[in-house]
Amino acid sequence: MNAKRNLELQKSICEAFGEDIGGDVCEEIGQFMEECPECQVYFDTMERSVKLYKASEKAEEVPPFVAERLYKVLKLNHNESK
Amino acid sequence: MTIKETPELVKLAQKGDRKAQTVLVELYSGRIYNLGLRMLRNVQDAEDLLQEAYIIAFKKLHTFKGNSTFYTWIYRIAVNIALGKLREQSKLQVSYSIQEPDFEAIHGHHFSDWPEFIERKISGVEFQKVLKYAMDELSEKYRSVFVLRDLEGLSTTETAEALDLTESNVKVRLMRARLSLRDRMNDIFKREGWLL
Repeated sequence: MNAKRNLELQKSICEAFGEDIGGDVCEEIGQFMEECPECQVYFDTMERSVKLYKASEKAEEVPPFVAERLYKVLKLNHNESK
Repeated sequence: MTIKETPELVKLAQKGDRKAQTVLVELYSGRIYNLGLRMLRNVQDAEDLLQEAYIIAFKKLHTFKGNSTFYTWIYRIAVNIALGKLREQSKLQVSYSIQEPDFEAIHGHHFSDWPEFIERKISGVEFQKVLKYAMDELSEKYRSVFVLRDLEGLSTTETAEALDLTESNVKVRLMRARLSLRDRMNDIFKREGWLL
């Protein structure tokens, strides 16, 4: 993993732990990460997991019959807004 | 023309203006339905959540003070309904428990880095099913935090408020949920032969 990616990762881990970027704890995290390439891979793949999961998600439309039922229960007419 | 929520629109809805109420349904029913799908992992429950959230919101609309947007308000109502449903369900099922990451164990252990092509593999429908299964296996207390923070994009403070947790609790649960998801995906990739 290159230095730039390592820095990005350190930043995102600090954020995840709620630590200030540039703060003492964040510095310690960075130092620890430099000495632990396995941890770098572990956290890098964790970040990629979240991105992969989000990319695989797609917003679903409310099924028309569900929308109809909702308007009926609320005593509304969806043509009324137009 | 794109319709947006305005304080005037909400005031009209509070006065019983049906057109304004209809606009509020049109604006947010999709988002509330998708929140239901993400949190409850079940179409029928998501449909019920959508209906219950709007019934409660309109019934209590006169109490809405306008300190937030109507969307934030109904969103919180929906999250509370979802959490109630999840609590009921958790009495009936045993959840997958997350192994806490043991950083001492990580140190010195070999982890395979994921090749670049992994990102291109996820478009397959089969893979999406497997991912859905991995998410279903997360216990409710971790999944709710992951859904609100990572998928719905709420801040740590907003997530803590919605789930009635401390901010540090949110951070810990989020980290555990993410690491658990990573471990499940790693298993999948190994099974598929994408990792050595």
